[in-house]
Amino acid sequence: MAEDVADVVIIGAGAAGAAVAWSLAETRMRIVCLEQGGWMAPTDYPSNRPDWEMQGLGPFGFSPNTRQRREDYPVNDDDSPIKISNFNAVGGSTILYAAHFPRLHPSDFRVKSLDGVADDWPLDYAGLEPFYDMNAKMMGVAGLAGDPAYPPKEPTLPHVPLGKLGDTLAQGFDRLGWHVWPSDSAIATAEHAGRAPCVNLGPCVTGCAQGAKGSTDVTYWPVAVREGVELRTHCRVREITVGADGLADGVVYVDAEGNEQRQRAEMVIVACNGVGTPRLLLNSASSQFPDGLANRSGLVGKNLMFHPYALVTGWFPERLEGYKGPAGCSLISQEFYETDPAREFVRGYSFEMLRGDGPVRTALQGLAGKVPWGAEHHAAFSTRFDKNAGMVIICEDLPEEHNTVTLDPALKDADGIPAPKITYRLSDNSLKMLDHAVARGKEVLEAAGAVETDALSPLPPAGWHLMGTARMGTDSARSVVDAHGQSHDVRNLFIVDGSIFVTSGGVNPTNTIQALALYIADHIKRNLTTLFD
Amino acid sequence: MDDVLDAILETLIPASADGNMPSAGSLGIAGDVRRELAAFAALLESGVAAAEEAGFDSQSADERANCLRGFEATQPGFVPTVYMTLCTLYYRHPQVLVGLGLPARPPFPEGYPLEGGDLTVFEAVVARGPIFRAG
Ligand SMILES: Cc1cc2nc3c(=O)[nH]c(=O)nc-3n(C[C@H](O)[C@H](O)[C@H](O)COP(=O)(O)OP(=O)(O)OC[C@H]3O[C@@H](n4cnc5c(N)ncnc54)[C@H](O)[C@@H]3O)c2cc1C
Ligand code: SF4
Repeated sequence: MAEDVADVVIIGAGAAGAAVAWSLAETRMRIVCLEQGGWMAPTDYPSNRPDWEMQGLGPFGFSPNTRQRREDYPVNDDDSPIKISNFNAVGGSTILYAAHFPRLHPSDFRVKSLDGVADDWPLDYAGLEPFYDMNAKMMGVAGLAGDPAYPPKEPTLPHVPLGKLGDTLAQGFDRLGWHVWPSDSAIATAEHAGRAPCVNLGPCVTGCAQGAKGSTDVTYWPVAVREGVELRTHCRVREITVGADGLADGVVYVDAEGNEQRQRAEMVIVACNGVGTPRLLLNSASSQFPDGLANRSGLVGKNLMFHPYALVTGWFPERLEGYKGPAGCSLISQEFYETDPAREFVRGYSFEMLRGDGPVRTALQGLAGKVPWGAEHHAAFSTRFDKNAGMVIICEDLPEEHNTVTLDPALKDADGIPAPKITYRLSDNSLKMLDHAVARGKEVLEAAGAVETDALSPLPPAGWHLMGTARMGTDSARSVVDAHGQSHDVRNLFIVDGSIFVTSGGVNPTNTIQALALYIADHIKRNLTTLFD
Repeated sequence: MDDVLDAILETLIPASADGNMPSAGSLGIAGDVRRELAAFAALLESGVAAAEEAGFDSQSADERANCLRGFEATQPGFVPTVYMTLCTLYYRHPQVLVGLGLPARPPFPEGYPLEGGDLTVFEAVVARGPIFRAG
C-alpha cells in the first residue's frame, strides 16, 4: 500500500497550531495536526467542584512536573529560578491561560534601532496589524477602544467588568497620574461565535467550564475541523525526518496505544511552544543535521526568554468582591513600558491587575503566621479574606544565548523521548527592572488605599511565556527561521510559535504568537507554488 | 476517636465570637481529614492518641489550646499538618461559605454578577495623550 502523504503536518494543537490550521484550511490541502494531548471536557474543570481551589494546586496545576498527566512531558527546570508552566491538550496552554491578550507595541519590533539592545524584528507592527485584527475576531477580544498606550485598535467585545476591585485599583493609578486601561482579554463578555458569555466564575486559569474564555479548543479548532483539518490526538511526535534532498519528509510519532507511527508530509509546521519546539528539533538530529534539525546557526534552544514576573499584593480595609470576575483580567498599566534613559534599565514592563483569592487560598497563604489557629483565627482571617488585590509585573526579558533549552541527558517522557532541560539566569537588567516595578507597584497599591503590601520577586512559577528559542531573522547565521517562519536550512519546515520571537516585549505573548501564525499562513497561501524554491 | 479529633479541629478553628462561623469540630469533617491525611496516618493517629491521653475531652478550651501548643515538642508536625488540611476542608464547607457571605456552591454554573466599573477615571488617561513610541 502506498504510504499516506499529507500536504501539511502541523505538530501541536495549542494557540499557534490552531491558528495556522484554521488559516490553511481554506486551501483544501490535506492537513493533519498531531497533538500529544486530548480534548478537554468542560465538565472536568475545577470550577464545577466544591474543591475547585485545591484542584488548581493539583491536577490542574501549572507545572507539568507536578501534574504528571500522561500527556505531559517532564521538564528539568532545576537550573532556573523561573519554572515552566504549560498545558498539553487540544488548546495547549490556552486551556490554563488567563486570556490577557495585549498586543506588542510598534517599538517592540525595533528594539535595536530605538534602544541599541538585542535585535530588530524582520517585520513591524503595521505588517502584523491585519493579523492581530483577524485574531481578535476569531478569539473574541474584549476591551475598550481608545487606549493611548497603542495605535488605534478596535476590540470586538465589551471590556471585562472591573467590579469594585478594579475601580479601587484604577483610582490608585488615577491619584498618581499613571496610565491604566481595561485589559484586552480573549474572553467572550457577550455571546460570540457560539460561545456562551463569561459569568465571572473567577478561576479562568484552571480552565473555563463556561466556554467563554478563548482557549483554542473552543475558538479555532471547531472551525478548522469543520473545514477539513484532521486533528489526531494523543499522538506525540518523536522526530521530524529529512529526506536525501534535505527537505523534511514527515514525522515519526507515538500514538494513543503507544505504537510508533509514521506520517509523511510535503510540509511540516512546528507549533510546540518555546520549549517543546527546540526539544523536538534537537530530538530530530540526523546525519544531515547532527546538532539538531534546522540548527546550522547553532541557535536552536538558545536565547530562551521568559517574562520575569513579580507579584505585588495589597490588603485593603474593605471587602473588594475579588473572587468575582476573570482572575487575570481587569486592568493593565503601561506607565513604565517604554525605555526611559533616566532609569537604570532599558526597556520596560506592564502591570496587570489580579482579582483576589478564594477562602481556601486565603487560609493557606495565612499559614505562615498571618492566620493562626485557635481563638485568633477568625479575626485574623477576616482582615485578609476578600481584602486583597494586587498585580503581576511583566518585565521584558532580553535575549541572551546562555539561557537555553537543551536535551536532558537522563530525563525522558512516558514514551522514552528525551525531555528538555532549562538553563536560565535573570539578567542584571531584569533584576533592576523588577526592583523598580515592585517599588512602583507598592506605591500604587498604597495610593489605592492598601494598608499593607507584600511582594514576591521573581515569581517562581511564571515560566508560562516561552519565547526566542528558534528566532526569526534575515541572517541565516544569526537566526533559525526567516521573516516568514520558514527554516533557513530546511525550506519546507516552518515554525509558528513563540520560539520565533526576536525579543519578548513586556506583555503576554499569545496574541502576537497567533498573529504571527496567521501572518505565516498567509505567506504560505500566497506563495504555494514557489514556496520551497 | 473522631470525638477527640473533632475536639482537636474545634480547637484549631473554633466558632467565631459572633456565631457566624461554625467551629470546625461541628461540621462532621473528621472523616474527611483522616482521608486527606491517609499518607500521614501514623502522624495523625499518634497526635490524636496523645490528646486523648492528655484528657482532651474533659479539658477547657484554653487547656486544649495549651495541650496542642505543647505538641510542638512532643508531636512535631502534627498541628501544622492537621491545620493546613483542615483549612482546605473547612473553607469549602457550605456552612462556612454562607458564614463568609458567599453562595454555598462551586463557582460554575451560576457565576457571579459583576459591575462594569467606573470609566470616568480613564478620561484623564486619554487627556494625557499617547504614550507609545512609533516603531
Ligand atoms: C497558567 C498560564 C497562564 C497564562 N496566561 C496567559 C495570558 O494571560 N496571556 C497570554 O498571552 N498568555 C498566557 N499564557 C501563555 C500562553 O498559554 C502561551 O503563550 C500559548 O499557549 C503558547 O502557544 P503555543 O501554541 O506556542 O503553545 P501551546 O499553547 O503550549 O501549545 C503547544 C502544543 O503542542 C503540543 N506538543 C508539544 N510537543 C509535542 C510533540 N512532540 N508532539 C505532539 N504535540 C506536542 C502540546 O501538547 C501543546 O498542546 C499562560 C500560560 C499558562 C500556563
Ligand atoms: S471568569 Fe469568565 S472566562 Fe473566566 S472561567 Fe469564568 S466564565 Fe470563563
